[in-house]
Amino acid sequence: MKGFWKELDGKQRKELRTRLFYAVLSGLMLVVFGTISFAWFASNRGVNQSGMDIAISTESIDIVVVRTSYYDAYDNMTEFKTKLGEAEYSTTENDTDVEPRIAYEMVNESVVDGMRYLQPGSYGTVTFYIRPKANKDNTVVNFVLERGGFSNEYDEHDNLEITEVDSSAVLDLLKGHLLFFTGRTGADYEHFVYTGFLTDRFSYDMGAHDKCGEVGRTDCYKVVLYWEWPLKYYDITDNISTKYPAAVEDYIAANPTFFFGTSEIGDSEEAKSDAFDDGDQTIGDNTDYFVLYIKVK
Amino acid sequence: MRTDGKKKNRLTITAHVLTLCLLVLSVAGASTFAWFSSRKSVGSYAPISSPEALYIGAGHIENDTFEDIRYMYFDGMDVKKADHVDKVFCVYGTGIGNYKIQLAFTTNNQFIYSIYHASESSVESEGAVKYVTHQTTPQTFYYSVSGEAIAGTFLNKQEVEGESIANAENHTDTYGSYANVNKYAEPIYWQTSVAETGRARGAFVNYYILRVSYNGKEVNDRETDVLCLAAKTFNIHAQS
Repeated sequence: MKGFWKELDGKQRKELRTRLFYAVLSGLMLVVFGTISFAWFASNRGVNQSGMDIAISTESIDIVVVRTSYYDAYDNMTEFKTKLGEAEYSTTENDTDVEPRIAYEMVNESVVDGMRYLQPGSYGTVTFYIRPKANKDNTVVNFVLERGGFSNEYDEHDNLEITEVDSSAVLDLLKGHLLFFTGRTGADYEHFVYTGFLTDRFSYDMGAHDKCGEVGRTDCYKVVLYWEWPLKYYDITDNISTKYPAAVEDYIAANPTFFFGTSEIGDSEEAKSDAFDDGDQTIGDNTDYFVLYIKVK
Repeated sequence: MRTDGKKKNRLTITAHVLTLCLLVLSVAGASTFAWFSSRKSVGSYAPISSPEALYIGAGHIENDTFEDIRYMYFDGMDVKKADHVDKVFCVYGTGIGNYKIQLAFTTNNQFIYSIYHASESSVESEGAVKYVTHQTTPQTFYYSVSGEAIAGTFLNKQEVEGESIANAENHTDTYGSYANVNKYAEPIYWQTSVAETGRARGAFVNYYILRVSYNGKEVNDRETDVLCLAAKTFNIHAQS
């Protein structure tokens, strides 16, 4: 091999080095992922939660969620859960295992006609727990947030088929009409003050927080995200820097399609308001279930 | 030159072997990555409220075209010719399981309003209500009453000296604090007792006939009444 190397000129050596480097890099990747995979398998045996707590697991943390029966009585919820199951998101009622992917209920705090369907003016929370593994207490956990949806479709015999929303126009509108934050104060829609506007990612520094005091979860950090579906466009623009952080205004300016369904909206505030309402309608017409995917990066 | 060629060949072979390794490892790496990245996600879900799609139109609905309710109008009602006038309307929508039909009307003329289920036909039959569409090529349809008048409940009707007028119950809802209102200008509110059936899964249209009867009562042909016709989604489970 040594002799062979000597016989090569500079260019050939460089090429070989590059190829070797990538080959070695691939090998390294395989080793790293292999280790993580084993970690995941290992945690399958050891980590069980009491009650309805269920978890997903990575090499450094578990994400624990508490499943509820919040929407169980709602129309087509059984079919919807089946659909989530097909997408490999576990929705099993009393699961205490560590699952690869978990779906659970987002909390809507606003009630309209006795129901908690999401609609413009709704607000609520998404709660989960981060449980660090040994010596991982000071880790920063990075999350990617994705919005998705499903819709009810009926064939000519009125048979329900729930399908995943794949229209980029609708998925874009979901990004601008349901807003997520890390902090909230105030008692109701009129008085909420939000901090920490979230778009598509956020980080949680376990070193900067205290573990939660809830029974059975004292080894966890509790993360509560606050969401709101603003009723009107002017509800947002009239309350920038008071109710909503200024980052929301910048986000609207940078992503008009998320709010108005078009990038050619112009400067008219009235046109924007109309387009925002139309966006709500488009979401409602095309989406029957909203899903916020929280992925550990 | 020959040595060069040899070297090149050896290099190429080695490179190919490495490329093959690279390929295999990459595939292993990539699939592991996909498997791994898809394994650490939680999805937080909630059902979304569907915007209501419930409308009232005049006669005949076809695919996406419907007859605007403004085509249902009363002109030249001749009380001496017949004892009632029939007009067709439809309630249509998507994804509405149940709804109620509501009426609000003033009482200058002491008309009696009743609503019947109706069936549509392109063939004329006795007593059927004729309706000509306002499409580019107008079509004619006939609507026949089926069954009895739909049962309903009045919210604020009272009989005073042989006249049906509204009581004071809903005055504030209608006129607020304004008190100087003629007794015939207080609208009577009515709605169907039992919810009408739409279609919770998909689009529907139901035809109705609105019958305006004079019922032998004396009618002042200079009087005008206002009639409001509405359909409201009704959740039979909540019974609200």
